[in-house]
Amino acid sequence: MNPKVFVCMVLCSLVACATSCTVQSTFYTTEDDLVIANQIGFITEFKLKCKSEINSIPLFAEVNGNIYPVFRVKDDYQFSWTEDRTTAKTGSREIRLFDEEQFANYRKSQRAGETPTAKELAKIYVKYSGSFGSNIFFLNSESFVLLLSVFVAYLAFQNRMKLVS
Amino acid sequence: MVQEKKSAMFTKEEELLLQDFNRNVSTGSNMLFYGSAAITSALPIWLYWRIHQMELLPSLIFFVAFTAISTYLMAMAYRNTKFTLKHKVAVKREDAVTREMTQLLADDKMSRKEKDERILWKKNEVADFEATVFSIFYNNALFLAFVIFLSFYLLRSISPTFNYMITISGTSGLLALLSTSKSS
Repeated sequence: MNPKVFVCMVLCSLVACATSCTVQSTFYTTEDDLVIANQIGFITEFKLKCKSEINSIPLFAEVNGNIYPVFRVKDDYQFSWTEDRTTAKTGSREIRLFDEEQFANYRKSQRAGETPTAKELAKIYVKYSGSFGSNIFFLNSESFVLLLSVFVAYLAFQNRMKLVS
Repeated sequence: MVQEKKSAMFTKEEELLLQDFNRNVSTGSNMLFYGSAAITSALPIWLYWRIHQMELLPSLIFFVAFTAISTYLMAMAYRNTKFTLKHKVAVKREDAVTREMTQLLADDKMSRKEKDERILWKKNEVADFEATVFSIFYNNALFLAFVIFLSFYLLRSISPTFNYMITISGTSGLLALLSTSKSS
């Protein structure tokens, strides 16, 4: 992972939850705009410790109403998602972690059109403090640079026409 | 020998006139053109390295090869544009240069012919400088505008390596082609 593209912000948060699970997480968000992809990337890696069980259980994460599978990488869990550059808001994002049972409850409530009441194993917070170069005067940076270069090229062309005429 | 004889046949005024209409440029101008063309052609490497995320070392061969091709084509565009504009600039600036030189040489005791030669030489120098500078500005402005448009809009969906190759060779080739236009 390119350290200049992604800012590494370490959040060591110990969140006590109802199921006595603690989570220790680190996360990365895009610092510089990916001009080509037009997306902001979020990656989080965490350790989950619960009293009752759990060394390697299937987990699911919910962010902004979307569910993502969580992958196991050696002893840690990891998952990532992207948001559109134009709509990604700065601030903290709450990630709720579910095991299979609570995930099933969550989906059931969703299908029934009810507000999901599933109890999460733990919560993680990912802070996004914005990315560099999103907009310059309400334009994305490549459009701004294109307009500027076209304007300079127009001036050059106009001056040439003046000389030639 | 033949060339010496030929040059001996021309007067200074004729030589200046020939220089005025000559497509060949001096070594100094050539160095300026190739230096400027090399810098302008190398600038997009930064865009492709930092924004299009091309790896610098594995792509080095592409960068060097296409920068060299682009440098050659851009230098050709500079030369052609300069040649097209030089005479036009000379015509535009003729009155002003003549007026200034006449004032400057008013107190000097020299023949009319010598004064005319100096005015012609000054006119040639002014036109050469202005055409050189404008040619570099004009081609660089068009080059950068085309590169940004092609790399970030028209060819954004293709791989960065092909994007780079098509953008750089296409833009410099187009400018070299446009510079050969005789309409202006």
